[in-house]
Amino acid sequence: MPSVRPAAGLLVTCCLVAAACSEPREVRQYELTGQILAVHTDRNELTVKHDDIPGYMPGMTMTFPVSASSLMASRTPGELIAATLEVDGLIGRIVTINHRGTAPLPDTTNEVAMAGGILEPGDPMPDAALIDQTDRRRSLAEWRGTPVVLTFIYTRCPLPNFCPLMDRHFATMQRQVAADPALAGQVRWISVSFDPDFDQPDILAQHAATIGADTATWTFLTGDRATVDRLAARFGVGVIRGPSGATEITHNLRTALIAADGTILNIYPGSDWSPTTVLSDLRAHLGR
Amino acid sequence: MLTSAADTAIPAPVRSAFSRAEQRVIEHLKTPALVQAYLNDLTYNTEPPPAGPQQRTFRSVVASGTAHCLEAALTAAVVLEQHGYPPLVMSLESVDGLDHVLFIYRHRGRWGSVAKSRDPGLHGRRAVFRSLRALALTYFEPFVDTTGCLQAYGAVDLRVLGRYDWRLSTGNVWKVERLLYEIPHTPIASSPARVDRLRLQYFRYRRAHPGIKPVEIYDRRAWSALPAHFSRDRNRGSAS
Repeated sequence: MPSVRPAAGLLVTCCLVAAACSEPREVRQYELTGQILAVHTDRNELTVKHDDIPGYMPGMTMTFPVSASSLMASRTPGELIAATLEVDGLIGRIVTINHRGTAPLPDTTNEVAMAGGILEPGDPMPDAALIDQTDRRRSLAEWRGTPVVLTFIYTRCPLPNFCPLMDRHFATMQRQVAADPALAGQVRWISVSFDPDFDQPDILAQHAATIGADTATWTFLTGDRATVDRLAARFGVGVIRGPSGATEITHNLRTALIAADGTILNIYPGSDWSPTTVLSDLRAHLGR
Repeated sequence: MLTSAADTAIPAPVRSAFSRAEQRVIEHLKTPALVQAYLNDLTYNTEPPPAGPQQRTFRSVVASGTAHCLEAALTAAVVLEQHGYPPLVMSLESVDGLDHVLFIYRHRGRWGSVAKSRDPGLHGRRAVFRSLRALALTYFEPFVDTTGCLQAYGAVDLRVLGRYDWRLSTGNVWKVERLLYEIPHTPIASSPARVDRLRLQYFRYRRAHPGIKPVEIYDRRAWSALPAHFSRDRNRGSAS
């Protein structure tokens, strides 16, 4: 049951404008139980997949403000919590949090991460721990110091004008850069698979060979699903997987040009961009 | 400088970004079924002159009380995002270029939709479908009319538009339409014979029921409630 107390500040406001406010507003408190899916330390908010809140709202995933930064300390995605939600009019915020354990994150990581907003030109490239086509652990931070063109694909994509087109564009650009003395060896290419269950390192290695990729400068990455989904979401790639066993993945496409210092220079949405455009932007960045 | 992949930027707008009237709409429409009922009550935006083609946001829809299919999908996305649903839309691509757009959502792992259309069969579906393909396929038969036939579907999270204001802009948001063109669409295979049979069925119905669009010839078990005027049309038709 919700507990109720009057909001003191609002009561004062009501007294000052009595004609416009005949009743004091109430602050209600509700017990909230659920799992933290994302921690937004910079703005004191938690994204929580919560159970039904009797008398207030059904169970769903929401981002809630947290009343004090001290409550944010040591909060982690996956944490199970019992919290107090205080609702004042239309504004709800978490005012107490008790740790109840941890559990694996659900498989909607991409959607949850998308709630945090997407990267734009000028933003720094995020880091992520991934695995390459040789089964070696890699960090995106390793590519700092070299301009990178990065995209997201899955090798089973059945639509010739989408993921396979990204592969063809990358192969074209890689060949043109290799043939250009001013650019040769100065650019790296990354294709991240958002189908990690299928696109294991050996599949990625085979795929690289099939499409003629030179893996000296073009790396294929995969990783655990949550990491890949979060990274894709940050780059504005939405990923919706079918039911278990289905091969099809519903997604959009975004390709990023990243400067040597890790700053995102440009993002090319969809599949309509041309290698010429990206190489032109790359040459402008390198002053060639 | 590198940052963690869990870092965040811009969330959905806080409630204070909405006008009082918009907040009342949002407060009332807590579920997809309620949003569908709200959209059913709006007049269809036929984009008449002098304004012509429009692609307006939730803000203009609430202010005008009218919406076409994409405006309705955006409205559902804005309202239900405030209740914790990701703003996902599905594009249904037709052979005649008259595409359709739905808001889509998951409930207990099953997909459903919220939509507005001038055709009764292209409204929302209850959340009973295991996959997006299964949901899209329920639109196949109602899509077949004089020129239309569903040929592909795609889906996208509107948050990929980043800082583009698809939620509350007072102008047209054409970039949303462009996004829907650019996303991958998965083809839906169908035999010409099946489409011919459905088209013939449609013609026969229209000839037998002048001025009325077919409803009862379709499997409607997963359909959401339709706008009241479709029932009124049928009652008038059967009385005449």
